[in-house]
Amino acid sequence: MTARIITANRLDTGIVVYLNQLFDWSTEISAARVITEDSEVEDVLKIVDRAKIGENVVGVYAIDVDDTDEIDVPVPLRFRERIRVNGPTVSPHHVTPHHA
Amino acid sequence: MYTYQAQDQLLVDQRAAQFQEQVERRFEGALNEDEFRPLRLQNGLYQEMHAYMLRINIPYGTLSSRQLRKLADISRTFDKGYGHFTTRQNLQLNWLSLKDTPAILAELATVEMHAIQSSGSCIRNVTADHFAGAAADEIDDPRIWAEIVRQWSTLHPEFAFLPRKFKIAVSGGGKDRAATAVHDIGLKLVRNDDGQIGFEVMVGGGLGRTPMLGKVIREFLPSDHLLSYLEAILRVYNQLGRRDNKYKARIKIMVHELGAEVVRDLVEDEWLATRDSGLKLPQSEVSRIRDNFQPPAFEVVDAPDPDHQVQEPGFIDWQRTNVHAHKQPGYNIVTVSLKAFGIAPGDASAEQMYVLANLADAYSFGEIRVSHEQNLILPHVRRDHLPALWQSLQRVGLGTANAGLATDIISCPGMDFCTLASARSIPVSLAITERLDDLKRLHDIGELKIKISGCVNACAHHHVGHIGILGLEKKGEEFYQVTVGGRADEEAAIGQVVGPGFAGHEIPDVIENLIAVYLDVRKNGELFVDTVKRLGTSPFKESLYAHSETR
Ligand code: HEM
Ligand code: SF4
Repeated sequence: MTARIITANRLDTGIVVYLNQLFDWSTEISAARVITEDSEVEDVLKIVDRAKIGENVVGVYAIDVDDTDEIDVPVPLRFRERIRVNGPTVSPHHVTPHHA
Repeated sequence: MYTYQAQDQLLVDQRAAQFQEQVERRFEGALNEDEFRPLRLQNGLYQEMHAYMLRINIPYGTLSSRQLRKLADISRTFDKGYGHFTTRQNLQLNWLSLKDTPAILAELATVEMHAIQSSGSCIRNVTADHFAGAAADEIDDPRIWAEIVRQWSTLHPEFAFLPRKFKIAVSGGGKDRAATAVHDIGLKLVRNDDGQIGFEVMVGGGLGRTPMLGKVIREFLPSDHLLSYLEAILRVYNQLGRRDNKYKARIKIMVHELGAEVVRDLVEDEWLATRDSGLKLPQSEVSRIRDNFQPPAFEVVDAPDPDHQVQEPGFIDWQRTNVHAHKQPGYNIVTVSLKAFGIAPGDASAEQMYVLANLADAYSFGEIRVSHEQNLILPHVRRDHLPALWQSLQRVGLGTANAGLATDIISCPGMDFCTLASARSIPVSLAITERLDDLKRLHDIGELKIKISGCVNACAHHHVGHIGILGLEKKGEEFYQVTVGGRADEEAAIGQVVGPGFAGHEIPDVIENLIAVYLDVRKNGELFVDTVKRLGTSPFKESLYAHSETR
């Protein structure tokens, strides 16, 4: 199967987080715990759902990532998930003075 | 402007306090997400891709300078220093924390604002013509009636759990600047032969995955019966609207399935039974609300026309597109474009909001309007103040002379922000703006409304864009379907798909191509959309797909 990681949004700030090796949430996708067995995904999701750490986040789900050996950091396969990693593809800030 | 009564203030204050408690209980774990979600949505708070998003109502698009300053304060203190004005006459803040939201609601309450009913299956923020109270062509000020609708629909116990969301728009009766034909109920002010004011009532318009234009079910509704008639429509919908399938739950589907005549009969029957009940509007109450919308203290202006004072070409261009006729001699309405080069349509920085609040105080009796086209309006500007105003706007990137032109694009947040998106929309609008960055040419092309949605929900009204662009996804790739010939005014029409979709990077070429065909075949004074109406889609299709049999 493709590799998977678990993501969610933090309850208090709403920002994107990933489940890490220590079974906690990290804002860094590089720290994400990479899962390669289907059955393990189910198990991990169940644990998160019941455990204390599940209380700090909303919308927990697994995403497919490219985790081939050459790459250090898991890269989500879906474009939408890559936008969640990197933020909007357009500068959200206002640039003034403007081009007239 | 409408000023809150004690009960209005109490309601929004209490709501902010209740939400404070609910958020605390959520953090303590006393409420889980399933229990909490409806509570936060009732206060307009969504979880979006990168953070929480708050949708703040701007009823019928009217803002005071004090309110705009507060929105600037909030966006600077709690967000990233900007906000996104939407087609629904709302302001959306994209980067909020849950923990800050109760404080934000409390801040909003101090300037008579809130986010109640900006989400969920209830009657949403009532929208209106953004030129209300100023337009030379209006029969009456639609805000008076929108305010009456707002008061009736706020926390209306019978309509808190409708089959689906419900949107009402009111136009002043002249040119339709409120897109009434694509709302669940569209109200147009009209005058009958006896000179009485009333409404033409349309039902069943809507966009989303099944776009439909509203059908007129009553040509003339006497104004004192506005609420009894709306209540009759809502009652019929509440009973017969489909709750089995969320895609068929809007009133447009009910009207489509039953037929407008049947719906009219059902509504009229219901109305006959209730029309003379407590909902009939007493004249005194209408006058009380009307008093809140009295025209400002206009002056008699005998200064020379600004055209004679200012020769700067930039000013002349701006005056041509962004300055509109006012009912008061010597005054104009000014559109402040939020579509500057490189800026997401509808975004305004906190700094721009502060400056605009000051300019509104200096030049427009402290009033600002939010248009469904994602621009801001200064409704009452003395003609001889236009040059000075324009110069001030220029300094903060708000003087772009493109209102109604091809770069005045409506765009939803799309996949850069929205969890429901299939594709991005903001970068596509920026790419088009970049390509068409020649003001002279833009003015030559004339009125051309481009609207881009990031998914079938159609939040950017793409179906009624002269050119509509719909973002979709196929095998993980974004692609865009293009329609032409839609319009949202009194000749409302749903655009027609020109053919197979395009990659995002092809869209600027597609737009160029459509414009080239138009410039080639247009008759004198004909708008893009009129050309499509006259010739159909074929010349555009032929040109677009001429070299691509493989598509
Ligand atoms: C980012 C969060 C947003 C979400 C989750 C959202 C959700 C939706 C959904 C689900 C629909 C389809 C409703 C239906 O067909 O029954 C819809 C329609 C619509 N939304 Fe949004 N929307 C969002 C942002 C916006 C924005 C930014 C605007 C204004 C620019 C907007 C204005 C509208 C309009 C005008 C419609 C279509 C008219 C209609 O048929 O009701 N929405 N939205
Ligand atoms: S049209 Fe789709 S992508 Fe755009 S804001 Fe609406 S729901 Fe989101």
